[in-house]
Amino acid sequence: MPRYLLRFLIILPLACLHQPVIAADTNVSGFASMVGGLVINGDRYLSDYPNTGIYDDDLSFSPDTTVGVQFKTSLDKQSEFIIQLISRGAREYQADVDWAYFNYAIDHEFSVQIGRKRLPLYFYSDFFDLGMAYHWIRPPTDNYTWQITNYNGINLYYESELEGWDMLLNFYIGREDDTENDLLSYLADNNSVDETWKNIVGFVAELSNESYELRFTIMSSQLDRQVNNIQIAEDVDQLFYGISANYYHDALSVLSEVNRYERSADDISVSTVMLSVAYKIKKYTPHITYSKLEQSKINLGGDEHHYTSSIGLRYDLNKSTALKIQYDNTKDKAINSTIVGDGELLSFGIDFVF
Amino acid sequence: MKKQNSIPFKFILNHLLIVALLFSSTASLSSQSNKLHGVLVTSKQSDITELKRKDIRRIFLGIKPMGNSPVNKPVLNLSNQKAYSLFLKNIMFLTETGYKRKLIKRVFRQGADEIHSIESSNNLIKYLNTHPNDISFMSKEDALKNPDVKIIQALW
Repeated sequence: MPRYLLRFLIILPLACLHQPVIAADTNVSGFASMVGGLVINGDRYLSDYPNTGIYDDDLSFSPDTTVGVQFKTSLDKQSEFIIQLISRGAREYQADVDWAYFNYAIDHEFSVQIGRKRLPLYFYSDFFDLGMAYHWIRPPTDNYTWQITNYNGINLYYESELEGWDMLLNFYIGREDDTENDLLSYLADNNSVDETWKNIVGFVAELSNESYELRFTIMSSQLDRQVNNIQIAEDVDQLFYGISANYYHDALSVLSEVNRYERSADDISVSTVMLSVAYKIKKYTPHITYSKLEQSKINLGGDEHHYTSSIGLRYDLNKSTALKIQYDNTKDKAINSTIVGDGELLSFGIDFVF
Repeated sequence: MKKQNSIPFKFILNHLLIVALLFSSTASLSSQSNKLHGVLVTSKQSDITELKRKDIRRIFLGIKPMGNSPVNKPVLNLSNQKAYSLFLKNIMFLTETGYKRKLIKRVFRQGADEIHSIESSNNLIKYLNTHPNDISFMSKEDALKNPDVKIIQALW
């Protein structure tokens, strides 16, 4: 995103705060996760793939620490502008614009949005940084490994009720150009990798009621990639699809997710699964999780394969603050495509919203 | 080239089976009866008349009322925990944890309005009087004791 546009997007809502004639109703809200951790067995632990948050055997507070501030300006009853700035320790606390979009409510059920948003691939993709919304320190790392997490485009929301179920449908199109992509550059031994996902077309359907939450997602796009300014991939078709099913009953939560990514031109297919069980006892929520990523072996040698077992505890200090501690044990079974190897991580933190 | 089956089919089947069994185990759960009656309230000065239950739920999820609705904003009454629990159960059809999770996701994922909450009954009455078109809920008994409050309709 051009710098001038970024500055404009940052300045606009701030300016609106001081222009009550233009913006009668501006809200500021935010969230933060302050997380510390260290590797207790192994050399390194990649806890945040997209932003390459990496722990080692020294206590560190940067890889998972995140602060987000959201400004929302209502222009009238149907139109609003929303911007969310996120500062992450893994990216040296620079402010990134994760969301910046104009929302127009067509009627009670339809709304159209244009601008920059999170790419809603996985269940937790579009609230990945919002620690208060889940019991882990971070969503299972084996699942959330993608190099592109945002897009610029347009989407149509349909939100309604169907026989006692809340229904949310989201159809989106867009594109993302990312220069010096954090994850790919790290995996390419710090060579500069530019990545573009273009002609993105995606659809998400969510159904939920008191006890169940079901989600289906599909996205197709084309990929361009340059390494040190040399084009190594162009117009490569890729497809992502997945399903999530969650169950809640009183104190019990059972969360599950199965996803698949295919890039047939390169004979690449990757599957991810996740299963987590949590049980809330007053303010305490102990949980246990298994997650896995496995790439089908290909002629070129790619064989990424890692899985993680986690146990943890969330303690709800009050309605807007939670304390967490978590142990993760990751096994990296790849022969050619090792990420960082086996590792055991102990992490703890505090999440809050304001 | 023949692709390998990367995730064991048995694993997926097993964990989906567990989820399915848990889904079915709640089918016979019956709702609890209660004797506390709840009402939807607003300020005495308000013109708000009866709302559809579906619209009340949408408003308390942070979805703006559309068109000519006189309703401004919802306010959560946390002064009576039992009334709050029954409101979540009978109107929102959500547990407290589920409701909080839904609200927080709506605020930061869809840009929905935050729902204001008040923990004292006196403060709620004062608030409604200074915000005539905001709505809240309380026990029928509490509402009848307060002449400054207008009962819009029974909720449960």
